[in-house]
Amino acid sequence: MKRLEVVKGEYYDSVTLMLVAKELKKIEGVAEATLNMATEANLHIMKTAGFEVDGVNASPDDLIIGIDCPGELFDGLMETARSYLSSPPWKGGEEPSEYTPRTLEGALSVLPEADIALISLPGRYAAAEAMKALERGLNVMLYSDNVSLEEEIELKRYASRNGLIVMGPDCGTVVINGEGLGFSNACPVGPVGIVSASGTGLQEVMVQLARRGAGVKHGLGTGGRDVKSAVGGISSLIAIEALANDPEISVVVVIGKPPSTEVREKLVQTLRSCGKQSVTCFMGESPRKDEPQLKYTTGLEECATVVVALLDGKDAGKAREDLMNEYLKIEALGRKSETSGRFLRGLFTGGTLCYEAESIARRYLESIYGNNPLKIGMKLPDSLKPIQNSFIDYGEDEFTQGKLHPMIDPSFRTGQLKMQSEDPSVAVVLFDVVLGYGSAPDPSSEVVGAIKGLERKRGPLYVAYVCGTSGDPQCLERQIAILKEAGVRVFESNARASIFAAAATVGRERR
Amino acid sequence: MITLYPFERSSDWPKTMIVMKVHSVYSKAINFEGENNRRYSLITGEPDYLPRAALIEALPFLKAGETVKISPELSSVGFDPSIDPGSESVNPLWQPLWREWKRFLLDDRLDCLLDHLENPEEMLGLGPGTTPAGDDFITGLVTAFRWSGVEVNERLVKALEKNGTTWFSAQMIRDALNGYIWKRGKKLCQALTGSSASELLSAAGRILQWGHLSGRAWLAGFSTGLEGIS
Repeated sequence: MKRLEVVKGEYYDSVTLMLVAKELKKIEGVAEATLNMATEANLHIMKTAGFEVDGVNASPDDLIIGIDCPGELFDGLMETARSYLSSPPWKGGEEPSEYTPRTLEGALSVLPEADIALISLPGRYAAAEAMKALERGLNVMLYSDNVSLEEEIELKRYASRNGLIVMGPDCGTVVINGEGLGFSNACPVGPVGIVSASGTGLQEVMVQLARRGAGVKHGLGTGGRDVKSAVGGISSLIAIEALANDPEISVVVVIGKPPSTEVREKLVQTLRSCGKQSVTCFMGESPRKDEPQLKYTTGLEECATVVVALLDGKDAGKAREDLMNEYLKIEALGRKSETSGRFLRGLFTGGTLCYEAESIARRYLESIYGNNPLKIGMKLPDSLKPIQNSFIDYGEDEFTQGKLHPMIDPSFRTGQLKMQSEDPSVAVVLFDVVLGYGSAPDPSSEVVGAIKGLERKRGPLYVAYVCGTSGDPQCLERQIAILKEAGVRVFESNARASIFAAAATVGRERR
Repeated sequence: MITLYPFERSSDWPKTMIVMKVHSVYSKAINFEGENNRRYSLITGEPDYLPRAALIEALPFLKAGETVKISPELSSVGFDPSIDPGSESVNPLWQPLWREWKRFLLDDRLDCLLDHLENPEEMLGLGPGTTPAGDDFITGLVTAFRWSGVEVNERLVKALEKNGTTWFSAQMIRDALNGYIWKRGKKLCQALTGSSASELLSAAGRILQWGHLSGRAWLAGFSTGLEGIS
C-alpha cells in the first residue's frame, strides 16, 4: 500500500533524504521509501511511481515522505522516518574532531589565504551566497543548479569587473593545480589547461588524456550557459586568458556544447591570439579545417587524442584519422550484433555524456526523443515515459530539485533502466557509469542489480561506458568486471559505446 | 567500604582522603556527592576533566548510594580548572568564527532558548539534554564573562543560585560563577587567545563532541557572552 505524508516547512539536504530512504528500505515490509522536497517535478515522479499525490497540499518548502508498505506499518514507519531525520542513525553520535566553520566569515578567519569558494546550496539561495563570496574577493565555483540566467549574468559581470571568475552555475567539476573539486577523477597533473562548459565533458577528456599518459594542470568549469549569447562567454574568456598566462600550460583546450555564433567567434579569436597550441571540442558541430595553432574537434575522445598528439609533437590529423578507423571497426561490430526489439534508449547520469551520445546516435538513427533533445520538436511529453529512440539525462533539473545528482545516487536511474529494459520494443540500452571522487561508491553493482532482476524473456543488449581511472576510489577495473559479468558490452570511451549502440539499432526501427 | 586510588587529579581536589556517596554512574564517569552537596567526579579520560575531578585507570562497579573512600595520596595534579579573569584577550582574528557559534541556537532542538536571550536566567533548567541545554548555554555565557574579567550581573547570579535545575547542572553553573571551567572550555579559551587556526578548530571540535547538544549550547552561550562584552 502506497501512502504519503507531508511534513510542512521542513528542509533537509538531499544526502540526508537519500540516506533516510535507504535506512527505511532496509526495514522488513518496506517495498519502497522515498523522501523528497515537494517540488512539482518530484510530485510528478512520485505520482508516476504510484503515489496518490493529486490534491496533496504541499509547497516546494515542504518535505513529502512516501512509503510502500502494509497499511498497519505505515504510522510506525513514519515515526521512524521522523526520528531518523532528527537523529540520523548513520551518524555515530560523535561530532567530527575538528570544527567546521558554518559561515563564510568564519571560514575566512581560519583560512585567510583562501581564494576560491565552492558553493553547493539549493539554487534559490546560491546566487546570494556567491555574490557574498565575490564581494570578499573570492573566485566562485557554483556547483548549484537552478540559478536564474539573470543572476548568473549579474554574478559573472561583477566577477569580471573585479578580476575574479565565476565557474558555474551547475559546475560539477573543477581542477585547480591538479586537485579536483566536485566530481573528479584520479588523473595525472600535466601541461594541459581546459576550459569546460560541461562537467562530465571535462571528466571524460581528463580520463581519456590520463589513459594516454597525459595530465591536466587546471580544468576550469564555466557552466553550460556561459557560451550562450545572453552571458557572452564571460567566464570562458577569463579562463582562457588565465590558462594562456600560465607558463606551465602548453595546450589550452575549450570543451562544450556548440556556443552561440558570436561567443564562438570571440572564443576562437582569443584562442588564436593566446600564444599557445589550442584545441576546441564543440560537440556535435560539423568538422572544420585545423589551423596551425588551433585544432577543431567534435568529440571528447577525439579531443583527447588530438591534445596528446600535440603534446607528443605528432601529426594531429593522422591521430584523428587513426581514431576514426577504430570507430569504423566498432560500427561494423555493432551492425553485426544481435538483439530483440527495435529502439535505442540512452539512460545517462552525465549530461555531456548524454549529449555526446545523442549527437553520435543522430548520425545513425532518424528520430531521437529526449528530455533535452538536440533537435527541436523531439522533447518527450513525459521524461518518465520515453518512446521509440530516446535519450534521457537524469542529471537535468527536473530530476535533481531537492534530490541528489544521479552520479551520487544512481538508484532512480537504476529503477528507470529496469523499467525500460522490460519494454519489448527496446533493443539496446546505452548507459554511462561515472566513477571518481563524489560519485557513488559502487555504481556498476546498482545497475547490475536491475539487469539481473529482469522479467522480460529476452532482454535488450546492454552497452556501457565507464568513465574513470584505475586510481579512482571505485576502481575502474572492478566496475568494468561487474558489468561484463552481467553480460554488458563495455567500451573504452563514451563515443565508442555510443557508436556501437547506435549501429546495433540501425535498421531495426522499421521492423 | 572500598578505597579508590586515582593517579591524577584536578588542583581543586582535596589533598586528604575523603569519604563520599555515589550519586550517579556513567560509562566514563562516576559522580559523587561530597561535603556541602558538592559534586566530585572520577573520570577515565583526560579530555573530560572538570572541576573537582580525578583520573582513574578503570571505573569500579558501584551503585548510587554506596559510600567510598578516595585517597589522593598517590596522585599528581594534572589539571587546573581555574581561569585567570581578564589575563588574556581574544585574538581579534577569530571574531567571525566565535560569532557564528551563536547560530547553533537556530537548531530546532535549541531554538527554545532564543526567546530568553534578554533574560538568560529564564533558561535555567530549560530544554533537552541530561544537562538541560539552557544550563549549558548559561554555563558558556558565565564562563565568557568570568574569563574576560567582566562581573556577572547580580540579578543573574541571584537567579542562578536558586534551585531551579538538576543537581549536576546546578554544580556546573556554580563552578562557572566561581571561575572554574571544564578542560575542553579551558583549551578553547587558550586557543582563542593564540594564533593557530588548527588549534582553535580542534578545541571547538572537542567542545562539539561534548554530549548530544551540550557542546553546541555551551558554544552558543559562550559566543553570546563574548558578543555582550565586545
